[in-house]
Amino acid sequence: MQLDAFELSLVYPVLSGPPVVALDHVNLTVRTGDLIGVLGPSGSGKSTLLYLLAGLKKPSSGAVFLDNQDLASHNDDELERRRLASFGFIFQRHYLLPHLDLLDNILLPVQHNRPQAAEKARQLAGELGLDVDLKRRPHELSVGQRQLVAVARALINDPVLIFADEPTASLDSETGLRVMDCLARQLHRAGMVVVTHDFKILHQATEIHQLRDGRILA
Amino acid sequence: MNPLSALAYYRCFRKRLLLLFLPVMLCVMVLFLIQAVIVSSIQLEHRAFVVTRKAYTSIQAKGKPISLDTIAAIRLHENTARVAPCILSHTEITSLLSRIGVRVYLLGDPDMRLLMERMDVSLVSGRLPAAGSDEIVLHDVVARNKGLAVGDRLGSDLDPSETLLGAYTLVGLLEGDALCGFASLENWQTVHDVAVPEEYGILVMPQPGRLAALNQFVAYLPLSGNELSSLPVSTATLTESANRIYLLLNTVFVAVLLINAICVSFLTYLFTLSRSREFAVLNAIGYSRRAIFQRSLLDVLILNLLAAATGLLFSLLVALGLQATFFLAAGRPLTLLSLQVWLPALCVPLASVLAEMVAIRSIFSRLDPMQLLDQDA
Ligand SMILES: Nc1ncnc2c1ncn2[C@@H]1O[C@H](COP(=O)(O)OP(=O)(O)O)[C@@H](O)[C@H]1O
Ligand SMILES: [Mg+2]
Repeated sequence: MQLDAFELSLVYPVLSGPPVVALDHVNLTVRTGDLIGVLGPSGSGKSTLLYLLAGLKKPSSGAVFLDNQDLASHNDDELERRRLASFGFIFQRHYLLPHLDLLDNILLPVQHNRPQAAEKARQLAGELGLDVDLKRRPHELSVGQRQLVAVARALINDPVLIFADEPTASLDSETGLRVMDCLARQLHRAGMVVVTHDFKILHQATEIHQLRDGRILA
Repeated sequence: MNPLSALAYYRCFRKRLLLLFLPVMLCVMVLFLIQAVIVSSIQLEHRAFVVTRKAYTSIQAKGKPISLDTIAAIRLHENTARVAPCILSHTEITSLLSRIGVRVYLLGDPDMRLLMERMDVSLVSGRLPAAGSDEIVLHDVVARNKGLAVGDRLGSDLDPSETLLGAYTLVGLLEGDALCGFASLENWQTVHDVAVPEEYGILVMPQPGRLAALNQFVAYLPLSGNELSSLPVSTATLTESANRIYLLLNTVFVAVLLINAICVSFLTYLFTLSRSREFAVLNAIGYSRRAIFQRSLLDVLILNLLAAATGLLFSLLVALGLQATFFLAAGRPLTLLSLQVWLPALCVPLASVLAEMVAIRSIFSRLDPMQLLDQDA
């Protein structure tokens, strides 16, 4: 598996004033076994970069190639199927579904063989240090615990590409490191991009980039 | 549990479920019960007014006697099976909506049996009135409706508000589709001292299958003011009165349908809108937009079908309960198995499904998952 971003740019038109350049000619390659860290202050375009890489947004210019195939050449259906089957996305805002219990939230991406996946979900929860009854609902949890559920959800399908948007932002440093360990354990079959403003969590990174105002610093 | 399952969602949002479920269920019940009452009432009127006329055509003297030439002409006509001297009287019953006149035929003995046979009514209890007696038989429904039992007496002599002239003793009850009553013509002749009853009224029974042709012929006879009573005449009268009721009913029907559809689709709009972020997340994870959309439509469909089925079941139970405890005994049987009773109620879920689907569509057509997620960033 190989994901290549080529001269990736995204410009948001703004009603009053000049357009915002959220991402400015970014080049990046992720292969299986890579843990690409992207460091940047807020507003630097980290989330935008992940959305573009995952095909959730379309670039204004440039392209993303998955195994040498342009994502733009796929229709929405194909992109959706690909996201479900082989991508894991950890959103900055967790986004758990409030009416589902924790187990069902973790199992959201699972389409087949749910009993087996449920076993795996419990195992993941254990590895991440999520020590709560998975029958509880998200609103009963602390923000940090919700973050762990969101991580487990991103990993449940054994994705080959993982996008993590500040995965440790709401965690204490010890739990944060445990999450990073857990992510690093996926590297034998997955490549991942972790964006953060916390340098300390990137010690397993194979590559680290600095993002400022949508540009990757050389 | 499937993450898209409405069960999981509504388990958490019971109030929303009720807000979508109850209006549909209640409207179904209201329309079903209103319609049942009205159709039953019209059905009763039909049985008294139209079904009876399928067996005969009658002419009653009004002011002037019926000319014997006319009677002879009818008797000779090829479509005539029998011309019987007959005086028509009537007694009233009440439906939940109106008063209904039920014919009582004063007939001689063989004619009485003949007409009963043609109307397909028969004795269920008691016996037929004896010739020359002041006895009467009434249809069971009519007797129940008037609160009469065999042995009771009725007539204008006993109760001034009764339309049946004279005084009679109820000696038997009838069953069958046609609502009617029979009494002795000889008794009437004695009381009024009449020798030739034909001049006061005749009842013409057609040859088998020739009623329409007979009615056509009779319609063109010079009746000089005498009153003709026939199937086309009574059908037209009933249709006219039924149409007046149905017009009112249709107004209620359309109003209920619209108000319900507007309410539930508005709620659906709000509820679906409040779930857009959830849909955005699912789409971002990789659920196809189409699948989420179709699932929402399916939910709406199932919810409405369930609500309608519950409403119908409830109202059917209520109706059957009332039927058993009250309506049958009171001689006001409810008609429940007619499509006419069910149809308006069935339109309720249909209309709300359509309106709710439009609401959902309007949300999904504008749903931009990434924009929603950006708003949080
Ligand atoms: N939908 C949008 N419309 C306009 N501007 C946006 C939108 N989303 C993000 N931006 C802008 O793009 C820039 C990068 O945003 P983002 O990628 O969220 O940064 P980060 O994740 O590093 O905090 C910011 O200046 C932000 O205001
Ligand atoms: Mg961000």
